[in-house]
Amino acid sequence: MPNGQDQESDKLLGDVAAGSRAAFKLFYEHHSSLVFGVLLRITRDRSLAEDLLQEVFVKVWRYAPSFDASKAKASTWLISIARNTAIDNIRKQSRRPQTDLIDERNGGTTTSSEDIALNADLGRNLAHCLSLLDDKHSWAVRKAYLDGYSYQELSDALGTPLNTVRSWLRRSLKRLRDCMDTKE
Amino acid sequence: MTDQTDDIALAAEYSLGLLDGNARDAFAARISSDPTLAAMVDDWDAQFSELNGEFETVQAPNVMPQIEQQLFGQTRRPLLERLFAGVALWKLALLGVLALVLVKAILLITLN
Repeated sequence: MPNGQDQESDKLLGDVAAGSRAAFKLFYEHHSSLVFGVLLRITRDRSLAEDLLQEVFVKVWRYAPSFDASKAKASTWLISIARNTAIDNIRKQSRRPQTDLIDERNGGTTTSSEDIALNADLGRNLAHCLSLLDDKHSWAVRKAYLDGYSYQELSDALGTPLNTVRSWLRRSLKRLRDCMDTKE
Repeated sequence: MTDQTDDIALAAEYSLGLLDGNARDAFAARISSDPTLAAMVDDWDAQFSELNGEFETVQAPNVMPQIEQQLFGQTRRPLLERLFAGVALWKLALLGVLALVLVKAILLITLN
């Protein structure tokens, strides 16, 4: 997202925090498609995503006063609310549609290293540190973040027992932290 | 320092959304009373947000009227809609039929 747009979004959120309904409407117009994309990807359920879209923007109105532009971009703040809302919801349900699990079962790990190579162009910490992990482990981190995979879903997709996945992912997350701390 | 490194991994699991139901709720409760833990989660959130560019936009339905309804109570609706608010279509149709019957009856009486 270009810088000017970030600044505009930050300002809009400031106005929302001050109680401007007009700013709130504009903010919705600018960002609802991004939020909907996140919700749809994680829930894989259109009607649920529509319900959650409403929930997310109700939170935007309520939490706007706590937004701190010096800490995060408006879009980052918003995606964090959207992801958390979606994950809180799907973790409370026992099941969700498994459509994209099937596609990933073959060759998910190979595409992930290509994606990471693309990301590495940005020269960012996470991309670099993820690339140092085992392919399978960095794939798992990405699937959890972007698609809301649970340990059970990761275990199913990889054909590895859940407890094994949990213990190697925890080790990898600690390594990730060490790597990012030394880069900073 | 086992606790500390365990918390680092737990904070990452929370940030990724890997903790399920009870574990997620329990960790959320710990965050609200432990600023160090909250800062760890913020750190992870910031790091993982580098992946945000991979989310795609999808044309969203307009749920703004429902949002306003939920937040502000009533929303302003167009005049015509407000006039007929709460009047079901079948009631209008019934009214129409009654009017027709009345006209027909008057016509029959006056013609005879």
